[in-house]
Amino acid sequence: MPAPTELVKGNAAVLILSVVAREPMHGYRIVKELDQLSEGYFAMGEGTLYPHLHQLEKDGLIEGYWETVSGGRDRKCYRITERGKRELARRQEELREFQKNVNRVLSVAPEAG
Amino acid sequence: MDFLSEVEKKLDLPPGEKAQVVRELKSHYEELKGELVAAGMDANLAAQEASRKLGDAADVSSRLQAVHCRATWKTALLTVLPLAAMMIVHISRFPLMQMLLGPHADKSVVYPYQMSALIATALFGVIFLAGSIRELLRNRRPMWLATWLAVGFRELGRSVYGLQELTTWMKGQHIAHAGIPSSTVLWLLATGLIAMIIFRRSTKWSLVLGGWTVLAGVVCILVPWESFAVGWSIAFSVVADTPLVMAIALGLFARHPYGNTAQASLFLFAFTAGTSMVSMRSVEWYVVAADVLPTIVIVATVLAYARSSTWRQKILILAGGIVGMYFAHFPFSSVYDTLHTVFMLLLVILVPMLFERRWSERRPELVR
Repeated sequence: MPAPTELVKGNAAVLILSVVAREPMHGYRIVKELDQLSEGYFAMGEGTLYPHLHQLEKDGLIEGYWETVSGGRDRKCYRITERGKRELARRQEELREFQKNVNRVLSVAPEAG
Repeated sequence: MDFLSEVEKKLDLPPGEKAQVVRELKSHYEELKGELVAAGMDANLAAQEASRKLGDAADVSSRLQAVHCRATWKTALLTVLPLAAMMIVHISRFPLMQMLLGPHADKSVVYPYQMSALIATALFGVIFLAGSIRELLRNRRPMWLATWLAVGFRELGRSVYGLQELTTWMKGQHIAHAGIPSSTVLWLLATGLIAMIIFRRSTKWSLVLGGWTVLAGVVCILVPWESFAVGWSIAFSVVADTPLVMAIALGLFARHPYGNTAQASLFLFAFTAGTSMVSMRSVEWYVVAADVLPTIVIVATVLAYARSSTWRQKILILAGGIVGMYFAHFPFSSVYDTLHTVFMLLLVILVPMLFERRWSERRPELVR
């Protein structure tokens, strides 16, 4: 079951940063990687991806560059910047803390259904 | 109409920037379509499916438009901050002078950059310039960089003029109306050097900019400044550094992958908007009051620019701001003010637009 759209939108920046932190990649591959890594849970639409990518680029968290691939086609790849790495570490910590506390609260609730 | 054509039609960005966005989406579309065809889908169906997966063109273009053009309120306020700060320094100089000089203030020939106003100008210049250099070293081009750099650079230059004028005045010597040639030459050298550093990879442009710097410097030294009327000598000093300032704007913003020509226009607007207020006027209340309205127009223009959503809106707002400044200052306007308005329209609006067009044409990879 794919994640609710709002949840993906709200966490798009950290998801993209996590994927790009592994290695530089272009938009098409970012969508594929997210899909594969989450086994289809984070099915980020292409239309959602680019505004987020461009915002991250404007914020200096990733930087884009053009490369030509076989067949003469150009594509814009993105790599994480030092600032992006720091932001990713901050968001990872934030999410871990959030997850830990959500689990703590959920663990005391009686099983529904 | 297919997805890419619709996005291209709806996006209102400077041509070079728009071409890059569409080119990236096209690359994605082609790869997606290719994969579907490779999986055995019919080419027409694959094209339709690829368009569908890219989403609603109107939604995608409006979100891209917002990212590329419209600043958040925080960024908008940061963008307007240097101009607002200098407005306060400028307007407050009369009461400050009165406080410092007491009853003699009204009788003195009072210059804009004295004592506290000069210190405040230099201080703000350093702060805004330091903030700008930090961003430039990080290779970033946030919207506010244009005004911070323009105001920081300009106000530091004015501080040098002001310091020289103040010390000359305190010695009881006569001061040329529109600045002192040695300060002007120093300013030209600094501006020329920065422009040459930006264009260091182009021998042709380095030589052109270096040549202009030397020529303007020599004219500044040889021309008898005091023979000019106030407005005309200011006009001369403005024209002398214009090509150099323009080169800085185009090199730092219009040619940079994260910048654009609208940002270059904003830089030029912020840089030139205050020059009509440099004139060495004796400080009477009505003169200070005459400057209040134009400065409010400048601040409002930059705020509206930052919050506007399209490239065309930004250009129209800047053009409106330039004309608005003229009318706000109208009761005190001279021939010089009229010429300055025309000059600003050419410099801030026309030149960056022509550059954009020519630059995009020379970069075929930017065209879809």
